[in-house]
Amino acid sequence: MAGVFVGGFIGWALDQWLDTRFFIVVFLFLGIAAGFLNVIREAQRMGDK
Amino acid sequence: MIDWFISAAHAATQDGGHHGGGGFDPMHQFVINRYTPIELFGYDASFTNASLWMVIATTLVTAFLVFSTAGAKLVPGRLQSLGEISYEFVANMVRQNAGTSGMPYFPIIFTLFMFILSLNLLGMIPIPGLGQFTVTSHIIVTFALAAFVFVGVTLIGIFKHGFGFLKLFVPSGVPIALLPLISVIEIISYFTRPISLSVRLFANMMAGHTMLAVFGSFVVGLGVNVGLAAGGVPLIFMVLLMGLEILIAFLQAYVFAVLSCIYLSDSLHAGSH
Repeated sequence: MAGVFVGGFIGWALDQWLDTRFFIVVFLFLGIAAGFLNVIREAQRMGDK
Repeated sequence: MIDWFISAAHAATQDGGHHGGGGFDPMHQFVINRYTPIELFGYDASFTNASLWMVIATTLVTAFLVFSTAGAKLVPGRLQSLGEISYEFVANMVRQNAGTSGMPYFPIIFTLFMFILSLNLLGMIPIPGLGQFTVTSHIIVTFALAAFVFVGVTLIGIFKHGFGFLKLFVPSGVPIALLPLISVIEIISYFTRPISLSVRLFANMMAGHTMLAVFGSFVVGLGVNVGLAAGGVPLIFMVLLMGLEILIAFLQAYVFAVLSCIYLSDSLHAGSH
């Protein structure tokens, strides 16, 4: 969940800084991917125990 | 579930409002009161009820550990075995999640665990004259704790590995073409840690205590308006929820400490996975 926010924020900040519009979209998707990565990691860790 | 929860809380506040004599506001328990206004360098650093409960918590933990270790015997008494159990519990947690190389950082994990646990549990106890307040139900407190863990763990990683710490963001066995994408995702996922860590603790505590307040209002509302027997039904639920809340208070302190251990282990063993 938090991945989406962090990705969105990085994208938004880059957009503000570079005066563009598309970074927020790219980083939102990257944030979603990071969120999934976190969930998968956590699930693997639970499986280990 | 969440929708019902919000609408129930909303209905409860609309019934009486904040001002009415019989008014009920499930969020009122989270209000911060300034006891002694202090201003430091233009910042509001007043001694509030949150500060008071943190002082109570640290005093209790310190007293507990001092008394449980004072006059330690070979055959432990009740207090001493309680102290030993809490030590063993956290020590095993650190060993399992961060390995023996994580043991130098045992004191900080133990402090975090005991502090959060005592704050969570103190929030369950209404004290006459002081009322009841859960410090960990405020995001700024949990975020400060999580940010402290995050910065600390990052610094440990940099001191241990130097530039090798950056290997944390380059998983081994990834094709070179995918590496830039994966690294960016890894970096984003690294920065989500303090946010998810703090939101998890804060949301659990706040939601739990609001739910208790709403159910408590059902007991009074039904008992007064419908009949004593009708108030008994939510009262039974209250007892069960109280038990659940105590479990959550413990569980969330445990989860916070375990995740801190895992983050610590990541920066201690950066590049070897």
